[in-house]
Amino acid sequence: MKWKLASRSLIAALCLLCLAGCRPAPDADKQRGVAVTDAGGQKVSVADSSRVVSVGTANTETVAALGAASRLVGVDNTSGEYVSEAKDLPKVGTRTALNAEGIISLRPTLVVVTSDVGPPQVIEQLKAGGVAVLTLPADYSVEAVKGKVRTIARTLGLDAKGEEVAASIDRDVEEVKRLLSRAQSKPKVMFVGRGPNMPNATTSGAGTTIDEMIRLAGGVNPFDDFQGFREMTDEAVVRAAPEVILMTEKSFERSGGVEGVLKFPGVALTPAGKNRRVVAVSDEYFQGFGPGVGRAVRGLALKLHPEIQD
Amino acid sequence: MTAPAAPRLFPGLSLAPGRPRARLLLAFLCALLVVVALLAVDKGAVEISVAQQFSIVAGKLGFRLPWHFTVEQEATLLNIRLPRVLTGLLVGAGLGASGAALQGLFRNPLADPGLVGVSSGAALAATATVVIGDALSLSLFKLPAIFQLFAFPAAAFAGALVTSLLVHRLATIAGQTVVATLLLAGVAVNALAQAVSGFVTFYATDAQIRSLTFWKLGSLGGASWISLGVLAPFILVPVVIFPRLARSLNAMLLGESEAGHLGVNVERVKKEIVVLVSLAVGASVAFTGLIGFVGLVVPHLLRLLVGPDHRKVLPGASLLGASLLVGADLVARTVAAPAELPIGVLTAIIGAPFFLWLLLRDRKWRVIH
Repeated sequence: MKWKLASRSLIAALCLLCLAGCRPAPDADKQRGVAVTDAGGQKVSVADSSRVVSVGTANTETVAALGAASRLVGVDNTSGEYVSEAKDLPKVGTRTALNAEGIISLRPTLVVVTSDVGPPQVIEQLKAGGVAVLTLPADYSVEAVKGKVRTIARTLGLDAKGEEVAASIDRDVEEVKRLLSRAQSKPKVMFVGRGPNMPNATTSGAGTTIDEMIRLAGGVNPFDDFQGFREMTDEAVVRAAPEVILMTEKSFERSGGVEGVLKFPGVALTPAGKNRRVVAVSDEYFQGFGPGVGRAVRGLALKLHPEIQD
Repeated sequence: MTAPAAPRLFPGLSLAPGRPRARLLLAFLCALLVVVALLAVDKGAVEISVAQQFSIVAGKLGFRLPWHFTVEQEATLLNIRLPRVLTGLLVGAGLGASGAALQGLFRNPLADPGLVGVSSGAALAATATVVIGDALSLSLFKLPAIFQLFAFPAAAFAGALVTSLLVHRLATIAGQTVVATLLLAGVAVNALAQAVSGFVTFYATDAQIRSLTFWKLGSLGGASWISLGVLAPFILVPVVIFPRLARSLNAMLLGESEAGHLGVNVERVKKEIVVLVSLAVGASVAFTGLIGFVGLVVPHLLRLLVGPDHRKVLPGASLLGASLLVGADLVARTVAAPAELPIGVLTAIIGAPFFLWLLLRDRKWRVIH
């Protein structure tokens, strides 16, 4: 009979705990700080931006470009890998597997995330923890980048610096346009990606950072009939007949250089394969659109069009 | 069932005198669960002293204790850590007891919800709900949150139910479980689930891929009081009812027709087990994804410790399953803090070697009875 008592008191204790937790105190807006609009169109007020956790490489790059890297107290793993200012900061995990309590333990006053972080509940949990959360759209265009830069700048109280960075993006893009006016071709550029754990190579369709980069750098992505990334099939690659193969440096090395790339499905039969035209660019170019987008596009444009060199 | 239904909450816990060992063991399991749960509430990336924890909980109940705490500590304890620990407790109890009940039903110790495909079936149905919802352009992510909360466990329940019925139908021939067919049916369902999730990933949007990844890896990270409230009945009902079916399951150990001769309504017990397992596994998968090995290892451990009597195995499996999952989650969220390890990785790291050790330790003890 002791069991009955024990099990009942256990259940009673659980119920008590539930009762205790059921009504989380709404965290009163202490003082109203900067008010900005987030990805969902909601107003976020940020009272204090002295300790920032940034998730998403473009966000972290932006914070660094605004000269506010010293305010960062934590970043996601990918940011740590690609943004030099964030290399030695605490890592809060990959963008899609965040841990709310871990982030709160860094005592941030502001968490900047992209709208595609996971688990989705993490944003609510952070807000419940009294942390201001700024959600930015995962949107890839030059205009969107400038918008993001301005939003983050306003949140950090660095509006003037934000205009400066936005203007520099414009300058970079104008410079690329000027250079491209001398370009004599519009090559078909196929992206080939191969992650460290992926057995097969993938290529990029529409709606990705890579598709936008190719377009901005004066090339054409022959795969515009699907969204996102797909595995390559040899016949589709031959039909697309790319003139240039575009890769990141890391996946170029992983694939074993040009010889390795020629072994990917269909590649050897394309104009790019026959001319061995493989362009490898820094991995940072494609890590989400950040303030470095103009420079990245310029770098890619110069590699796609050697004839436009100043 | 015709075995008299005991009026007590856990009939298995009031054991016949003369079995002090089993009683002691269940007492130990209770104590273990309490210790693990308290430890899990105590430890985490955010430092909260025991005095502060009391202060926070008392403060919620209207008492004022002298220990000060910050808003972050309060929110972390009440909104993140407590619901997470309680979710782990429920899911662990549900998976442990479901594993024990399925193994009893099939009279086979390999009948784990993961291995025979019940979990995959649940995940498959939940995935299908996202995709079909989107295809009908009534994205579940846009519908009111409360509908979403119930839609996934309901779909997962249906998926688990269909799978368990299918597997049971395939694997039972003339009242006997054919082990090879049981496992092959599980392999087939798991393969189908893999294929569909691969197919969906191919065409999926970012939001869909996120939920797919979540279900594939399993995590207690999304736990909230609301999800806990929806989850609780799905798990508590099976966990409380399972021990009442213990006597029938014991009789069925002799064989289905023998159990029938002993007065057990075999068909009805089977249906009850299948529905209850589907409830618990479906809801667990919907809220925490695929977490393997708990349903396989826990009942084995219990049988090793208390023997095959379901009156002890079923409540014991709930207790031990809860301890195991809460403990694994504690490790998952603290060793890599501020990041977290996928919990499925941890349950497999604990579970797989243990399972192998079991097999090697006593090879007379057969996997296939």
